[in-house]
Amino acid sequence: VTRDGIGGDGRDAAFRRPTINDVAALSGVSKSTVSNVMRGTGSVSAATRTRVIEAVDTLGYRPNATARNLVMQRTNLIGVVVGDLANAFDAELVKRIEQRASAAGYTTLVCNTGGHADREGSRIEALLEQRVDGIALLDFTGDRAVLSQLLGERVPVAMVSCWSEYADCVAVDDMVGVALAVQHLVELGHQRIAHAVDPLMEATTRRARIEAFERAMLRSGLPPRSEWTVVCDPSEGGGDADMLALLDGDEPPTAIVAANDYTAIRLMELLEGAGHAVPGDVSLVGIDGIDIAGLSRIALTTVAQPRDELASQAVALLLDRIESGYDAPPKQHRLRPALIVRKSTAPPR
Amino acid sequence: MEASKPLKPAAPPPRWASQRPTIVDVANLSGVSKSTVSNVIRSSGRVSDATRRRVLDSIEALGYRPNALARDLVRRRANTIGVLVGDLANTFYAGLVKLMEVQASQTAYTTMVCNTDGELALERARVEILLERAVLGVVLLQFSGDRTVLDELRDARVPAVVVSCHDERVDCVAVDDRAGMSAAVEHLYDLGHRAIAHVSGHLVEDTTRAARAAGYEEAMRKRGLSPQLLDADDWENGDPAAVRRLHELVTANDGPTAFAAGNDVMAVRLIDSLEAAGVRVPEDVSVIGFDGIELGAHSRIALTTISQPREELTTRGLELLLDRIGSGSVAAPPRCVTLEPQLIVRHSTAPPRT
Repeated sequence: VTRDGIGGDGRDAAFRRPTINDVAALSGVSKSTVSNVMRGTGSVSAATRTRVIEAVDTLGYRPNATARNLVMQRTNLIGVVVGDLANAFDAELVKRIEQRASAAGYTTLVCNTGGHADREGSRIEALLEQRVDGIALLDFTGDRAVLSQLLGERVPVAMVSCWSEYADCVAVDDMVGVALAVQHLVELGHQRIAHAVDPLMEATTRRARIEAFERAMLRSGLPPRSEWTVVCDPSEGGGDADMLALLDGDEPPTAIVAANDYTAIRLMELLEGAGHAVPGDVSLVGIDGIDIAGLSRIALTTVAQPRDELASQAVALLLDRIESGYDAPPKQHRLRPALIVRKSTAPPR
Repeated sequence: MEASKPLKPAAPPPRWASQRPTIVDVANLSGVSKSTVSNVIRSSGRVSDATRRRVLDSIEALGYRPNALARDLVRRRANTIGVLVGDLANTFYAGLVKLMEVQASQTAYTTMVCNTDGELALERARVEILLERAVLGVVLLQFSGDRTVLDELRDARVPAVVVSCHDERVDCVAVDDRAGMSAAVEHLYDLGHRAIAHVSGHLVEDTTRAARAAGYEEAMRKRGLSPQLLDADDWENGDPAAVRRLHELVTANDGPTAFAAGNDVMAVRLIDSLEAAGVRVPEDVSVIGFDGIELGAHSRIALTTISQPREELTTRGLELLLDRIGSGSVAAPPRCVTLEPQLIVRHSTAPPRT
């Protein structure tokens, strides 16, 4: 049973989209006049314009974005490459970027890489095939081949919440963020502080965070121990088990700085499940400031990134680069994160 | 940090679009015609193995990438699927989008994701954009049920599938929302609750909201109980007066002892608001959610919920869509796949206080 009176075999072979020729024929003008009306260019009399618009309406003609773009060398598409949409920080940021991009007339193509360099490469390849006007990288594995390909092809790139000296970037200062977290714990009296790294964070970002952590520790006069930096992988035999082993050791850490809120909230459950109260036995600080961290039952102390500002500056950087050309030197904005103290941190016992 | 070698080319080459290797370069290098190169790329026509290898070698050597735009113009379509989502900040939907993206890219489709914030005007505008982009199909993870949107898609002969909500006018994959809500009421009833309220709000997609509310009302009436529907939008903006009213509501003599929420996000926020008002969950009041988000499983939240099979929703949804794209039939009768939701009992529900 079909509702629209088209043949029951389901094939719509007879259907043909109306073309610009149909519009021209119906309104009795040339194709280029129709084109001028559609694009609002050239001089067209009001009467002709009305006739063309009526014909467009009657036929249900939709200008083919692809054809138009081929002429203008623009697609008005922005690729958004994200590490893990299941991480609320990424999802909330993508949502904001999509809203801002669409307000400026751009459509977003979202790709999830899971933090894998090979997937990152293939997704970016797919975006380039779609001839996106620019790419926002919310996560960058640090694969130099990927970056040099993008720069080599002169595709506008904005890095959001990650960093490269060769591209436009907007990010909070990792050094400042991690230092705020460490400083907060030190002020509470903690000296034995461990660092929990997210496995979905790739080598380069991970190294930068680890370096930031070690520097912050040294600045507070505390020697960082390399075995206290743990990549917390929930899979069997992964880093989660190492973290629990540390806490069961002779001189256990009394506080943990997690690389992001997602990891911190996951650890909160892991530690409590193993009998370590938070913050009674162990204090926990996250980084990002995702919404659920503020729930009273989670009450995670965190270093919040200004998400609205990250999104708006990222889109502004990208559009500026797309519209004003490729060759200006990279513009880089560091935003200041802010410590939000809740109930996952307390003085050590 | 090893950052000494500059990656940026020293002298700016001309605009990127004009200096990419073209199909002509590939044809010249391999000594065949343009259409032979095109046949190799599209795996169509008859090309000898030797020629195919020569063409592929040239493509590799030149770093040639077939121009998707030009190719789409020939086929009049792009290898792209549009995904419309109501609220990306809801991890249930973000999870669906992630699965959808991963599965679609395994079948060589790129996804175009648009967020509608659950607003009809945005939904219409985004569908219009996707159609202009000549997407091959549209996945609606949230659908207002708006007739205009469906007509628009049908007129453009673009297949659509509705995932996680029901609409009989189009292909859809969803759990049985009525049955799920009925199971939620049954769970609370079996614990001894009689004053059970239903809480929903604008972030639950319209048709889903209606189906879940209907399931709730039906289950209540069947047990001779009077339904009570509340709007979560009242207190979700953190309005202290609204939180106070919530407190008055549950401390009143005949106030609800249990809430069945329209989705998990709403349930989690409700628990937060209740506890902010000094009402304990589940000691004073029970709360059950719907969806099965990851956060609900967290030990500190421990939300009892009606869980949806996420992976199955997306695989079946994509199957339906690709099938329609492949067969080129938009007008064939819609197919609806109904999946069973599952009650997961955690610690946000308990017998009422006596």
